Amino acid sequence: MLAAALSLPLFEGNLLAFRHLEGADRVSGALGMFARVALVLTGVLSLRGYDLVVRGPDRGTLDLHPVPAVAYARARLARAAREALPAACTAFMFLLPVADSPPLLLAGALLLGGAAAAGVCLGVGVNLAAPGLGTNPAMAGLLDALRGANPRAQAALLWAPAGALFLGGLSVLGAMASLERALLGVDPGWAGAALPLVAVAIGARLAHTDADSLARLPGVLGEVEASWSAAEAAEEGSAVYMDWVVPRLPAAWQRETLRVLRHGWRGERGWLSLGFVGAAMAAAAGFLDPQRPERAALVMLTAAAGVGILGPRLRAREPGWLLLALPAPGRTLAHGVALWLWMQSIVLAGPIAMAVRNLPGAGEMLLRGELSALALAALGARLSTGGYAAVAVLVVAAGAFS
Amino acid sequence: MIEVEGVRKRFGRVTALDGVSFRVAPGERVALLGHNGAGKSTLMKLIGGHLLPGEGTVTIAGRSVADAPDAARRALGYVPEEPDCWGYLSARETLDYVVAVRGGGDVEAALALTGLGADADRLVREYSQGMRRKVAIAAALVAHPPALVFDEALNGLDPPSALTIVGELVRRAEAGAAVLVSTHVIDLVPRIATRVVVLRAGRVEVDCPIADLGPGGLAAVFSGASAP
Repeated sequence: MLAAALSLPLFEGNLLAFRHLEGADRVSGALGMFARVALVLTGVLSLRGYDLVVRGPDRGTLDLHPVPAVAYARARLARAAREALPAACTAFMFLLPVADSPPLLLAGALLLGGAAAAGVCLGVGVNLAAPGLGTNPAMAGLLDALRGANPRAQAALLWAPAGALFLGGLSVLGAMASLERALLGVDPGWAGAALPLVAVAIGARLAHTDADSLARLPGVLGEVEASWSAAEAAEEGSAVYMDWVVPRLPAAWQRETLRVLRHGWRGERGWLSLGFVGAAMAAAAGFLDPQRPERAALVMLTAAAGVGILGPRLRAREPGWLLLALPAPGRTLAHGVALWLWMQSIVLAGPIAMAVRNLPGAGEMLLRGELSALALAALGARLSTGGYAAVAVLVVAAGAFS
Repeated sequence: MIEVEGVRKRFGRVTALDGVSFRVAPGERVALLGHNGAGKSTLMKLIGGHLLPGEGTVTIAGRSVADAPDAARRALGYVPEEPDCWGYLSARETLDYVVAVRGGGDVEAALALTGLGADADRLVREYSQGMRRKVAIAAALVAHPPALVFDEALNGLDPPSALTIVGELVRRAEAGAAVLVSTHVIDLVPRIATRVVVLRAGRVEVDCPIADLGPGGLAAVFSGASAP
């Protein structure tokens, strides 16, 4: 939802501009929009298939006893299809802008419907088949090219979601190209619209895997998790995002700042990773929308304000009684410094993108960003979540529109 | 039969198992002992098919866990260290499922054995930790598989229940099952097993009948004071 909210300023100029076009441009624009939504839909549903098959809550018992392969595959496909309905319905809302054009409406419906079905079937099928494909001699060449230091069986499971995304994406883009040619009268056939159905057939075929492949899954998954734990344990001892800055800070700040950086990286990595998404969106906004720099500023500062919420979140977790017993001088300052450091990827991304494109105003944008980040970090280090959210809105508005 | 042959397992730079070999014959009861970090859990996960050996083989009733995992799983009743049962089924429904997929078994007898009879129709999510463990044990026993592997499965059970389960393992072995149990409860070992395998730093340090250890020998072997 945060990503969607941050994307909103970009939608109209880059996704819905076709509404103001005519003829072939309108057809291409509309199909481009459908294809993007269809790709997202396929991606989301195929990753949900991975969740169901590989990470599902049922694994605790399924991993101990024989599993009837055919019935299991059918049940997983049925559940994935049922769970896909809300996402598919949401995607179909993107048909509304072409409601006045029946051919475009039909093409969009075919593309989105095909993408949803392909996402469901590939997500379940490819991931179910992956442990078996990892031992299939016919796959050895491909897996050796992909696996790096991983054994083939692990590589098959690790690359399965990417394989599902690749096949689904290929079928969607192929269908889009075919539909575009059909709507523009270049090619009389709509047969290419059936490409997602080919992906559906592949996914459904793969889903009907053998019992050995199902029984192999816990072992392969256990290996992946053990490798991950070993890598993570090594990382935990050495690397925390932005900790390289700490030795360059005044000595009195270092200990507490490092503590906050560690707690944030280890306890709120998901939230910080969303900050990276915000940085990418700020860069995209700076790069794609040269006429409206305030939009880029809005995206950038909204994302930075989102990172600032980490301040109250981290403080809420700290045990007050322990802080009384072990006083931590400079704690508020350390939170402010850590928040400011975490905002840097976002604050720098937009101006750098503008500078790369040689657009005027990059320096001003950087100044606005840094001043706003300082204000947001100071607020985040002191206020509660509610108070911070209320004041951060004002900071963002002032930074973006001043 | 449970056969572990030349198994090595590394996690990054850590060698968890270094050339472990032993076998549990039909009708035999073996206790796997070792301190924390000795490699017991890794070995049990390998036998249960929840990890793959780096080198060596693990076979259950002649079926390789790596190459024929479904057949090996059918021959194995495995209780992991932290069993995770379906909370949205009752104990009876869970056992009905296991009997259906394994092709036979006596649900009522398994419920009675584990003392779950009175609570058999309550959802597992309402169970205590000990009762959930009993469901996992009942599921491992219900279809009478020829190999039984219990990984710290008696932890958290009340003493009468633990002794009942131990008695059942003895009966299963007498009927021809191969039984392998890992435990830290040293007092239970002579009741559970006729032979001990002691792991230390990923290697088999001791593999001998308990009778050969003599008085106090089991505790000494477990603590690492001596090795016959």
